[in-house]
Amino acid sequence: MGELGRIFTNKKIIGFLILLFTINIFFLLKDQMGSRSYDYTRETKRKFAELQNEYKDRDYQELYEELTVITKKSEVYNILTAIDSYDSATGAPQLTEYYDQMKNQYAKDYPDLVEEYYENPKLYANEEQRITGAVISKIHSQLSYILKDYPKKLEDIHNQAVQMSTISIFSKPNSFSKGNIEKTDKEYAAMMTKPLTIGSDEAFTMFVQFKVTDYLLLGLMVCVIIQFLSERKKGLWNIIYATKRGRFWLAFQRSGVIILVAFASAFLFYGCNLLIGLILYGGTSDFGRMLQSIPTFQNNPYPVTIGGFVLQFIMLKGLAFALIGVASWLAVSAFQNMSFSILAMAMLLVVQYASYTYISILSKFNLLKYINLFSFIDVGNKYTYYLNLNLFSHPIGIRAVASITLPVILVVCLVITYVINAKKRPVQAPSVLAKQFDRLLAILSKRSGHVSLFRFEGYKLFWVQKGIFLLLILLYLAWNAKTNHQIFYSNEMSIRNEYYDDAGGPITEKTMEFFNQEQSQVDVQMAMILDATARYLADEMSYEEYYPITYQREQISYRIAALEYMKTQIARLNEIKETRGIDVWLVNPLGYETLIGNASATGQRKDVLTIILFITLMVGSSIAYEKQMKAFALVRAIAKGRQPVIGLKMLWAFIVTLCVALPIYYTAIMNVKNSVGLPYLKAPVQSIGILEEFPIVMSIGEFMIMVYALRVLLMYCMALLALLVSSYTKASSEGIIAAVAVTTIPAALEYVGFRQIAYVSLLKPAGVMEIWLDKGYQGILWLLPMLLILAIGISAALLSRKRWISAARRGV
Amino acid sequence: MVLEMKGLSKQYGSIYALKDFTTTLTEGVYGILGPNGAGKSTLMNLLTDNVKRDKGEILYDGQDILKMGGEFRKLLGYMPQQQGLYDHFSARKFLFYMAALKGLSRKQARKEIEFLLELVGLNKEAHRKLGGFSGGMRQRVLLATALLGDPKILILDEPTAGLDPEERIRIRNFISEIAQNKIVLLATHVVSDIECIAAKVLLIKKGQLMKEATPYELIESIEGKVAEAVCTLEEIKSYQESYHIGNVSQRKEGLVLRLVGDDLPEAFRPVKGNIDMEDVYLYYLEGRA
Repeated sequence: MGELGRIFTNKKIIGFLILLFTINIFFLLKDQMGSRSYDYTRETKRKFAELQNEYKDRDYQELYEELTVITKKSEVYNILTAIDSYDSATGAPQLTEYYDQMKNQYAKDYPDLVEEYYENPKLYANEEQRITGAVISKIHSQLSYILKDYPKKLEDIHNQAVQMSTISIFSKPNSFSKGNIEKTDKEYAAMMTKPLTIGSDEAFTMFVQFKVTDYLLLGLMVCVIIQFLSERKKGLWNIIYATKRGRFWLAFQRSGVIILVAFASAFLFYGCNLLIGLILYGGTSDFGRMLQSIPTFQNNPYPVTIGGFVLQFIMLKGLAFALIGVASWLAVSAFQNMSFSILAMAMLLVVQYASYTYISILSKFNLLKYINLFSFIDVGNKYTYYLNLNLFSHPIGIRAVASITLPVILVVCLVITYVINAKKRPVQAPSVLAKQFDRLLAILSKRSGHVSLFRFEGYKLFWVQKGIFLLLILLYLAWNAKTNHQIFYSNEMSIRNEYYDDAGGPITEKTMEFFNQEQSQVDVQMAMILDATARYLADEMSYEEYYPITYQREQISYRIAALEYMKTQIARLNEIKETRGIDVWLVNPLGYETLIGNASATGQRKDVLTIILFITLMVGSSIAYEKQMKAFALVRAIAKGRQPVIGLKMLWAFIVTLCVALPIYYTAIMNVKNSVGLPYLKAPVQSIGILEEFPIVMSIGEFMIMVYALRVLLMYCMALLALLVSSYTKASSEGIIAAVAVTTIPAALEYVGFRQIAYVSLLKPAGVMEIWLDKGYQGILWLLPMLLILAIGISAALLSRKRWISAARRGV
Repeated sequence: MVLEMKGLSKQYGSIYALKDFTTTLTEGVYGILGPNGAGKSTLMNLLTDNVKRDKGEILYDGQDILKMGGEFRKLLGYMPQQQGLYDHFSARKFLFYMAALKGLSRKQARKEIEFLLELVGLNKEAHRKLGGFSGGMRQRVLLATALLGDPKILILDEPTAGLDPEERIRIRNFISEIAQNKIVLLATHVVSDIECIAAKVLLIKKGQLMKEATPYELIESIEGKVAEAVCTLEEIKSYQESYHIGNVSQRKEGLVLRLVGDDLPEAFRPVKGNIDMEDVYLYYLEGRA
């Protein structure tokens, strides 16, 4: 197909496809690996396959009982190992006593297991045994689902249906409620005779839950549709329309391209996702299992094997993307004016997305949610969620809605698009709307006009080079990060936070008094618990009476640990006060550690990576655009076309850096402030444990301002580097790709684990504080990577300036 | 106001784009004539400091233009041959941007832009994106850009290409009008433009200045070197091999062939009175290869 060849021999499209594919794999691996090592995942997969093979002919009930014993044993071993590893020499005396009591209790409750533990305490000590324990626990949990949870779910659905059919409001003939209840019961009944089996679930769960691919393929389809506009852009529409095959035949060919690209990319991308899942977690022999064997799919009542599901999933995805392509092409074809065409496509996608996201499933307009492009893409939802829609009082499942309406809408859209493309002439009298729009533009153009070079350079960067859209995406991401922000505290951390709230600030006698009082209260409670435990062990108390005490015992253990921690902190702060004369305060460090500490290094690296990526995308085309437009010689022959223009480009690079960094850091700071708090900004920075050896005396607030100013400065250096790289390219897209390769890819590589390039990737100096905080560096070596980035930034600025001023002299 | 070029040379590899070019320009319109690759654009790029010169100097009122830098560029109005414009800007926005680069005030910019848009016939299209403009329209935008800010030195590369005859005459007359106190350098293939408005013509070939004279002097210098005769198509073909052919025109006596050169065939009658710059071009720049 000539049209397919035209599009896919375009270097930009090929580059874009490769980029999307790389992004897909990058995010998939990042999402799956998280903090797990590849070795651990591989070993778990191996062990699972080994045990799966071993258990394949076993009776599930018998196996379940056997594994229950092993799982309990592993649990007891873990607890006793934790107790034995507690160092009573350094810990709180109450806790030593507490753990002794716990051991005694276990010895009473599980005498055989405890005895076995003391015979071989290292049974689960090595990695191999830990992995075996985890895999057995996983299989045990699967058996529990297969033998108990799923049959119970089916039984509950049936019982509920029987029960509801006796209630008058649900048993009205021909009503949706009655139909829905009967349909649900009937559909789930089909699963009662289907055997569920154990197997490796993760690859298939990941396959259906990983959403990034959907957005990437959406981008690919939009890109293909925009390619169809190229003849309009190049003024070739009238020539093509005048040829024999330039009307219906071309439209027909293009529909073929859309469908082919949709299916091929669905097979390529989702197939790749599944392949990675199978490599990571195994499951190649599980394609014959019933899909419902995986708990994620328990709401799917239709009997299907995993293999059948995978095929249906990819086919439905292909069909959904084909429809998105065709519908977008229809929107684009409907307008003569290219801007209107693009706007129409954008509006279509935005309206569809909003309908899918914001219409409630209970709304009477819920058909708009499910007969929707984005609902069609969300194939996983049709297999993990069960819902019947009310279609003229008839219940119809969301999967059936998608399966029937999707091809019908696709055919209708295709027919309309063929007609439009065959009938719509390239040269037409402008419509009334277009005329009015043109008139409005003419009026506005006459009234506008300024001579601020600063504004013009900003206009080029934000409007012409579409920086504003990138900024809007970034703001959306920042907003999303704000609304989805969650912090989980351990029990001990929650109590510490309470202590900091109650006794934080300058350390005075009142502070000491507070903790002494707290200590007394804990002692009293602990004595009571120990007494109760002693009575339980002496059979003076039943387990039922004793059970609430075990809960109290657990709570008091957290309190004791938190109190010990606070005492250590106060001792440390007093030492700083005495030895260095700094009037340090008792400050909750959690918020500051979250923002700048090593503990939150991954989150900080992610922030820096995001910032670098967006800065580069926005700045990377800055100089390349000038070359692409070939206005270089003209601009440079004018009085202010040299130093002032390049100076302003650098100034705008700084503004872009601020525009990108501020929302990300503002969100991060506000998230921490609202959840953990950032108290006592006026306290000396040495009050925070991780910064106690910081050599300069300044307040926490001043320190934080310094840190963020330095981060922004280093990111600006990256923006200048992107500007320099841009000056070596001749087109905006080339500039962006080259700049991303230089600034973002090293950072991304470091983010995924290539630590060797950490010092030039900016993540280390700008992202985290480990260089600052590592006491081994003797307080000076941390400067080196930072100075390196600064030197790169300054050199990039000087070289960009030189290249701009002398570029045309070299004959560019 | 004097613009001097002394021993100006620019070499690309082993090829001289301009060699020992020396001339002095004062107020008035200078037409630059030369075949493609003669060095016209290189000369203009050297004057605008878009290309680094290898040898020689360019002095404005005795000062080297490289030392003057931005001060010299303030005096320049440049219209390049390459139609590089910001496609996403409207014509008016582009002119405002150029005004900003030239350091014009908003009030002055608005006044001049509206006048120039009217002059180049783009006032009704000025709100539209440059990306949708035809080649001729883009040419007119570039001309307006060069004229913006009342520059003392105007460097125009093919300023009337793509214009219809009426517009061409209007623009030509305008350049002629404003050239009183300016140095205008006009490189074009439309020799009638030069004939009409150029006070002096610089003939350039292979990077060297062949001749510098007024159009009248140039025309006078080739009197007797242009001749015409009625010919058949076959004869025209045979003359083409040995002579440089000017126009072939259809008249009532048949096809009239015009030849330019030193030794013309005897059958040809020398032309008197209607020799033009096209003949000059053929004689100096094509005829003496």
